Amino acid sequence: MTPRDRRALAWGGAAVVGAVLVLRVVPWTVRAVATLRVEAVERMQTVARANDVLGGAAATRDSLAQTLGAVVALAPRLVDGRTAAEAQASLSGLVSVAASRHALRVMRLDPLSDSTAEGPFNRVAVHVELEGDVAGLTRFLGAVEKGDPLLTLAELSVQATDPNGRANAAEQLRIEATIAGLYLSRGTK
Amino acid sequence: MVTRRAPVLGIAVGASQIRAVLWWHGAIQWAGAAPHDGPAGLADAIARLAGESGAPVHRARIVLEREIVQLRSIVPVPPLKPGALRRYVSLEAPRLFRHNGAPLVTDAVRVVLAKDNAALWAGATTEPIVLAVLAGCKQAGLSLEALGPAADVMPWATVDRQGPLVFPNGGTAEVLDVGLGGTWQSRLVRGTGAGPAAALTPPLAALGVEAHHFAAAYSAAVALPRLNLLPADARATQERRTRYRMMRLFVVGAALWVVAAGIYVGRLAWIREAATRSLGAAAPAVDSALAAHRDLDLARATLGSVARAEEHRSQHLALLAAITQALGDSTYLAAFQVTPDGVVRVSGYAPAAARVVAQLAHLAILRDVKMEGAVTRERVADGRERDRFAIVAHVQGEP
Repeated sequence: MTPRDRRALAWGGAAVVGAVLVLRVVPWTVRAVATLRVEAVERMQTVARANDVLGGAAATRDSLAQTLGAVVALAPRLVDGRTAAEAQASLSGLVSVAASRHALRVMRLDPLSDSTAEGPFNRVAVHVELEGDVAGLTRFLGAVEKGDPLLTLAELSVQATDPNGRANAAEQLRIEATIAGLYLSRGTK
Repeated sequence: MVTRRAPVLGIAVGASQIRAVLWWHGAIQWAGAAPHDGPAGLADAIARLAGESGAPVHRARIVLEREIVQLRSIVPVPPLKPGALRRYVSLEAPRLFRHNGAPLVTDAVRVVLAKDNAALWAGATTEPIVLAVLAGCKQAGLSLEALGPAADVMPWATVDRQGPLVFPNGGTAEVLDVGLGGTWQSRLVRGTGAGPAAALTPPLAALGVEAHHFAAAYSAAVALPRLNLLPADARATQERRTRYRMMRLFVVGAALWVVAAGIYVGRLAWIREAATRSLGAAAPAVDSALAAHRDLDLARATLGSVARAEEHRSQHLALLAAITQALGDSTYLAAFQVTPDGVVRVSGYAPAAARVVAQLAHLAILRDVKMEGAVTRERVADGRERDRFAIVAHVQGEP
């Protein structure tokens, strides 16, 4: 092999090695380093976030204790029952008691299916038909809209049974209302 | 071009005298001279001067004074490339330079005189002198950085560095013509030349009356000549050495880059591992804190739900009270209805139905109060006639 051949071989080999380096090894290395850099930066950011979380842990626990206390204090504002049926029974009882306490006669009381959720709570509703006078209606509305538990009248209809009756006779009202409340269903933390 | 790094020995070789200057830290540290008797004694003289300098010096730049170097200027310059100029002068050496039988070492460069004018600046010396210089440097352990004519660097010894410069030397004087590109012509004249001697630079002037004699040695120390009067094999060796130095620099540079890249990658890997370890160690505490966060969010959502429900709680009792207070005693309500979408329907009897609409329209809690259907006139239980009305309105704040 002449020196010229050796030189040609050396240059050829160098060209092949150079091409492999430039076309394969260098791009792979650059990609690997870029990936490593991204991972390192992301982990550092995660560590920084974790440190922030740990730094505020004591304050979070204090806030949680206070907030949980406020949540516990909500209990009287909810309708009893952990299921829809239990809650409807409880709400029906509440409505019946309120009506009878205020001299209203319960003509009909139908539970309504209502699956609406209010955050962690579920809604329960009943449709009630009552009869009575204005004073009873007023007190009944006051009891439902002002007291505990937290009830609301989604719908109200008041009808005088005899609008052309005698002036000095006691008025008879037919009242229809849809009353809804909130309960904490089973499975909710 | 003034160098401030390791000490350098500037040597000017004359016909019978060698002068040397040790240049270091921007000042002449030592200057000395030694006689020689031609090429045979030149090597010993160089070695002896290097030893007398009193400092460990390993670099030398040597210039040949006017007596032992022949210089030629050709204006205009032949239209050749720089490499071809050197070959041209080498080929034309018998015509351009005098011969005494010894082979000549030549070199040439193109020197810019003005914007559109240039000269060929050529030099030659005998090979025995050059070989003696090389041998002297070898004996003294000096690395020869340059070997050229003194005229090439002499302007660096002056303050002006431009125009005709006169350097008196005994009964003769060397007159240099210096253009934009440096010296382009050298003439050796009798006497002191046409003008005053060139003003020397302060470091050289500090040598006093001997300053003009050491001007060439000083110039060699502070500047590199453009003409290279080394023989072909020495020049090839120098070029090879330069190439090798460049290669070494390149390899060292590449190695430094690789080391820097390795340190960078290592640092990234270390940061990643440290962050991973830190996260692993803090995981239980972080999980607990995150769970507390989630519980807190849930609890706040619970309170928010109840607050919203309270906010949207029905106000029908207040509505009923407001309506009954707004209407006069002579108005009777027969029906009252509130639908989930906030529509209020009121019907009843009144002396004037239009007045009822006006009275209800004044209530802030209602909006869009209007009659629903036709008003009829009916006789009621007390025997009077009244308007039977049906009114529709919307509760304020409801859609």
